[in-house]
Amino acid sequence: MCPSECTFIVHDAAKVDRLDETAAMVGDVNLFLNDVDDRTAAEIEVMIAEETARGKGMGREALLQLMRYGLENLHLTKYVAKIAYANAPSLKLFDSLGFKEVSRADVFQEVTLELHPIAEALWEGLPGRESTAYDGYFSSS
Amino acid sequence: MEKRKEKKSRIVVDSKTKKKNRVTLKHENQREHCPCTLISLSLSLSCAQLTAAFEQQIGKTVVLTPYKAIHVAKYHEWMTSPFLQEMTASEPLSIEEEYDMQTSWHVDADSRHQ
Repeated sequence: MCPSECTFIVHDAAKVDRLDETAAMVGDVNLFLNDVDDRTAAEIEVMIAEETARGKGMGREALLQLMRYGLENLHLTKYVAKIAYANAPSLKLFDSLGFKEVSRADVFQEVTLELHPIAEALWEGLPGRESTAYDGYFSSS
Repeated sequence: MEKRKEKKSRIVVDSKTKKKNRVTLKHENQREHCPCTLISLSLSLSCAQLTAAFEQQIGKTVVLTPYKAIHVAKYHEWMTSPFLQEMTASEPLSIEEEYDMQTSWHVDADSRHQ
């Protein structure tokens, strides 16, 4: 078991059904604490799998929520993203968040981007942390 | 090109050579000391604690919740899409492998959800 990889499911807030935890699923967002030389660095990923949910800023908000969590709770100072050359929407999204290209791996057809330091201004306008103290958003939680 | 079986491979730094290697979860589990375990020990945090602290994030347009067994079937269906496989540089997992991936980071924290 490798406990330092964490996956969270992204749900469309407008479609959440408290009785059905899968009804509003649109994608996932991940954090990997995978650099033994830099324990304040984490790899971050996002996927909006549902076609109808794309292009609405959900991936952006999911990333920002997780990035804020990582900064405030895990004291991270650097985020790393690996994105397929073919994935233009993701490249655009991470670029808009301030991530900078640091390397390319042709063998994996992937570009590596980094955000360091992390500007807290990024999540201005997101709902505050107090909103996370919601007691049981879904019936089974 | 190297065949990657799992959804996400990861970079692991060899502690002796300092060389960075991209490995799959399968290979990583075969190592005597998983480097990720070392990181979580140094942080005094397990993923169980991570996800416990992050039970739910209520946003404007999205709600985030830990990945639980109830989500696996739909997640697995998504990852059968060739488009998503290309975009995420991944290969399809069997439903059993997907359950293994899900429980690998939730086995301690969330037995109530299994």
